[in-house]
Amino acid sequence: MLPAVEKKRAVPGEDVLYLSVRELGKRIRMRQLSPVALTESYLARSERLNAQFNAYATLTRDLALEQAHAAEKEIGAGHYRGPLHGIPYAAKDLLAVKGYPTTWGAKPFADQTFDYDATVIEKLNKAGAILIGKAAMIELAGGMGYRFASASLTGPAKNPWNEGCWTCGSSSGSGAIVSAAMAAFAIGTETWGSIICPSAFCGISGFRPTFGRVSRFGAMALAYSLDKIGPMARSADDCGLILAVLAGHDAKDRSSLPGDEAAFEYSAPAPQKLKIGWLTNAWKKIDPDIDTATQGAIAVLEKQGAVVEDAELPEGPFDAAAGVIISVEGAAAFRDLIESGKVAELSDPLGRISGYVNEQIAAGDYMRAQQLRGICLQKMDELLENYDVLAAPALPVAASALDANLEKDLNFPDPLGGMGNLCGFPAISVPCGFTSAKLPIGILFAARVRDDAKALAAANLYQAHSDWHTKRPPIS
Amino acid sequence: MREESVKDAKKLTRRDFARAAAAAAATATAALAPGAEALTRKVAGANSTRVVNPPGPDDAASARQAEIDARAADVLRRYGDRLSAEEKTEVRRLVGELQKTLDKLRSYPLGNGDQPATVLRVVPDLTEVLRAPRR
Repeated sequence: MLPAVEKKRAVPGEDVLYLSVRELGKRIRMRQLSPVALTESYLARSERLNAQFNAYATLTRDLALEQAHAAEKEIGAGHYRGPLHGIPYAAKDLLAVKGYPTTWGAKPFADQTFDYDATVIEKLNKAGAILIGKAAMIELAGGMGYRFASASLTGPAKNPWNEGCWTCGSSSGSGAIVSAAMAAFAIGTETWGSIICPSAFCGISGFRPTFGRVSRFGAMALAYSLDKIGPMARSADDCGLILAVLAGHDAKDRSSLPGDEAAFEYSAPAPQKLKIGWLTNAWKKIDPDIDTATQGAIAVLEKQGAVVEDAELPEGPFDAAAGVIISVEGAAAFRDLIESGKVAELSDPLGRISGYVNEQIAAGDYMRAQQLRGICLQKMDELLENYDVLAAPALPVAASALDANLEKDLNFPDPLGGMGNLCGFPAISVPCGFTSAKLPIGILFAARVRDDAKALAAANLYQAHSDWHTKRPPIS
Repeated sequence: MREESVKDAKKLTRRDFARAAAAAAATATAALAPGAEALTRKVAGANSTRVVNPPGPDDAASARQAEIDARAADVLRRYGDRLSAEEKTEVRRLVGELQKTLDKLRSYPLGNGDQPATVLRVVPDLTEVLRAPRR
């Protein structure tokens, strides 16, 4: 028997707002939870907390309520579209949403609008998800470089675990929104680190899919051969549900994988025996708290039958290759901005001049970087032949101070991020503990290209036997 | 051919790589730096019968510096009127940082058969692509 209407319309409290997408979906499907009430509740919380965290660029209240009412009506009529139907989410403000500003986080584009939706927005619309806002981000996703957390049209995104700390970028608002339960999930993008780092810093689960699995049509381009779009949510399981909606071939994105390779079907994970390569050279120096927490996470997996062996990333200047490719492609993507001089309107001092320097990279060096990419692909594939997943601390440090000079305080070699993005292989960061300063720690699982399911399986297995992903930040 | 050359790269030990790195850095920078090319011509012109020694560490360092200077000069030539004195100094620093990255990149031995990972994939549904709104 269906619950009474009054019960459905009850305003969901914080406990409900922190539920997983899977659980919210279940309650919506059973008509125990109203999409309209849920949306109103997330909107009210977002309106209350946004000034505190600088998490949103725009709240799409009218659109959200329209979509919520439509979802409620459909579900009430027995037409349930799937696990995202009636679920409120936020999209990074570099994804085109018809009729709303899409600022790319940057002053020169503050008034920009598009008359079409990005493919991922279209897909989420079709799945019945409810867009409640555009998430704040680092200007141009960091494409022109940046030195401070304040490099955003909306100011620095503050970390819900400690407002004196940053969320990391460039999906900075997406990290804060999920962490502070201002939406059930968010969409982020990564060129190098922009999903993994905010997920680790904010204590959430963030998934970077295989390059080409999710269409970038309608998304701001930073580096054509590196940009990826992925889910940021409360659990790996939620990331799987969301990825299943986002994935698929799209002829409007030239890098889109063919249909059968791009499609991703996800079902609740079955227990499996994993072979894990624990990367001993992912970071030169690791914060002791992070080392302890991530070793503990690996021990949890071993207890569940995972076989863990030490593994090493291949030697070579692959992070330099990734850096050169981003610099060249970024300079090409924003050539008009650079040549017109409008780049001077960016808020970050580094962002105002880096493009001029990046234009100087010779074609020969770009091609050399692409040759190195070919070698890196081969070497990583050989390494991953031996394991289901590779694992390492997502980052060697916890969230940096809000006013830190990132060139000095968050600047270290990142071969794993460089190679992972250079080769386009999938990775996920999930919470695995806290530092003594009570800042979240993330562990990363990476898998072979197109083996997104394996990275998710490792994270799922870990989260089935740990509860770090259920912890909530101390928000007043 | 490509497989062979990838295999060769794989065979490199760290020591081999470091040794190759030094040699490659010297030749790559010398070949690419416009300043270095001018320097070579001048030496040759001054005494064409003189035996020129293979480039040593000093030549590599000066070629590298010439490359940095040329890049900074080009940025300032094109955009200098938009930049403050502080930004000009910063440009010079960033060009130096860029050079370190390029040094690393050029230090890895690559062969003719090492194909770049850039692929032209002919899109079958091109019409749909062309019809898509321009971003």
